[in-house]
Amino acid sequence: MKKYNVILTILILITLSLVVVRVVVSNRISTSGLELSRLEEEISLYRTQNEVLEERFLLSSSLTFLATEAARLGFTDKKNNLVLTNPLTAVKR
Amino acid sequence: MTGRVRFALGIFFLAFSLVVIRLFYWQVVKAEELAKMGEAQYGRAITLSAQRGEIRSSDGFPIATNKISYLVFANPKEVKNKNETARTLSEILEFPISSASASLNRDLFWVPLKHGVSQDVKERIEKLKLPGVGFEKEFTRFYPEASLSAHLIGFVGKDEEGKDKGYFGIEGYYDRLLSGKEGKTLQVHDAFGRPILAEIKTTSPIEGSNLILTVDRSVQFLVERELREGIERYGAEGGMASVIDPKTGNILAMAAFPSFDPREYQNFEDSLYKNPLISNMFEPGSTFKPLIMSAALDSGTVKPDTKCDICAGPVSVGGHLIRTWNNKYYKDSTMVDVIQHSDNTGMVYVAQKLGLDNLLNYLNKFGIGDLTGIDLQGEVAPGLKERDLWYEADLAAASFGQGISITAIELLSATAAIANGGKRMEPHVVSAIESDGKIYKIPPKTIGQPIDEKTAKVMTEIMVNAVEKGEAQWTKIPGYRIAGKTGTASIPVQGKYDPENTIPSFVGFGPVEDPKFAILVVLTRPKTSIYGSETAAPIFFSIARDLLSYYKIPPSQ
Repeated sequence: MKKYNVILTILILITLSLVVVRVVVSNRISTSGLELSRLEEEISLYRTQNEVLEERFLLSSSLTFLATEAARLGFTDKKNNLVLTNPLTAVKR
Repeated sequence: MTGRVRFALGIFFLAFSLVVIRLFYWQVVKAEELAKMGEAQYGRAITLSAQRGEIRSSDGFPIATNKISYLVFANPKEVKNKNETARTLSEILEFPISSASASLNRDLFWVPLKHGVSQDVKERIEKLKLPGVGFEKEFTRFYPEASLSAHLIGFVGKDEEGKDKGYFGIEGYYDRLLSGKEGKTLQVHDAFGRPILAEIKTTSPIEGSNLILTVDRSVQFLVERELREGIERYGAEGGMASVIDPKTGNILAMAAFPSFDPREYQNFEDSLYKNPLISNMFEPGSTFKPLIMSAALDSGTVKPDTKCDICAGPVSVGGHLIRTWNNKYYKDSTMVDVIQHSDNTGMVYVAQKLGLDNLLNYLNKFGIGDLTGIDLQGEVAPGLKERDLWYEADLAAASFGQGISITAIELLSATAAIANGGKRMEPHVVSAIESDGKIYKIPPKTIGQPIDEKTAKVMTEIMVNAVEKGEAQWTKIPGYRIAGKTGTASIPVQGKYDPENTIPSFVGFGPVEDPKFAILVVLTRPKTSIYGSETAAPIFFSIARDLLSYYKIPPSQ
């Protein structure tokens, strides 16, 4: 009988302590939504910055932009290729 | 147990049963409806938009992608000074003040003001800290190469529901793959509207697939440049050019002018959206002759050294007198000479020898009159007319590419078959689809063998001879063997042919030892000269020269 009382007491204590833990944990995570929200905003901000940078990178590495810049810097188109169809004299006595 | 006790028990049992039934009704039958009502109170349904897939050139550069933009919205009930806010926003967002004012005076909690606002503009408005004005992130289609390959790509507009939809070109053809699928989620919040960390039901969006093209960005750029310069130089109304790999059917470049800017498609006429290379029909003229000659050689009707016995002067067919383009006639021309001189009378001889049935059979094998199957939206192919409707004059005219209408892609694809040992490949612009991290390659597809390899080799040599000794020899590339054919097609106008304007063209491929490219150039009504040898041919050889340099192909001669 004494043994059963001990087991019952332990079970009740475990139940009570679990209830207390649950209350404490629920209380702590009830406001973590705010923290989560803050972190999500920060991630969103970095993602946005990355996307803006990627947009600028793509624009500045486009052939259209490079051609305009090359023209502005004074580069010209390559002209005719020279094809050597006959052997050239290297040395002549 | 006495009767009264039993009666009392019965009443309790009945009452209990009623409660259970009622509970069953609310917890089981009405469960879903109540859950939704609850969600509506504590949760907010959010649509998770799927990002549209990218379109990348063969080097992996995204020529169509997405950039961040914002929807500017307002809560009219929180806006303090409506007139001032309307004026400020209309100035920054560049839309009428009356429109801004009307939106801000509506009796609503949320009104949209403008879509597609850039990051810079959003930051400008944010700095002003206007009460009641907010931003929602969205994505706008972005083309880093501006209007490069506009006809190839198409553009993204809106459908009837205001959702993004692709039109024309690749955006139109692959719209479903590129769009992906929207997702949904539920944001749970407390009584104060603050988010709560809770398990929420989410349907993840399925992002659009990315497409990797066969188009080489550098080749596309140089083709557009050469074509644009050529159109200006020769005073043409427009023009188109395309480059294909004859061995695989890969489209390396496709350009046409006048063009449009896919970023601002709404500012251009609707007629410019169509890709003329696949959507416009034209009478090809002499660039059609290699196909007819190939057919005649392949069927054994003629040989390269067969002599034309009607080539001494103009030929009368069905009441029509057929002349050469320059009124020069060469008695006993061989088939090689016929192509070299672009001799219409020689081609009439070939067609008459070939016969209508053979001609139609070979045109069918070359895919003339049929869709090529290219993966772009807008391809047309009205088909050849019925056999019974062909007269003698039609057969004669078809032999030199008049009286028959085709698209540029049909002509290029058929000519590329000559370059590829007689094997015709299906043209395509997408080489692979990237979806969910996996890449699915689209293999080249053989769609026919109109002529055998031997005929293809013979025809190639005839076309090389045409380049070396024909009217366009002045613009050929020394050191390289390029096969080609000029074309100067008359334009049909109200049952007759325009005496002053033409559609000059040039089609060819090279280097013939191991063809890397086949090119077609077509101009519309150039003013400086009507002939293909003086307008389209130089553009063709400029492009070919650039390609030989780009691909580092050494000279063979």
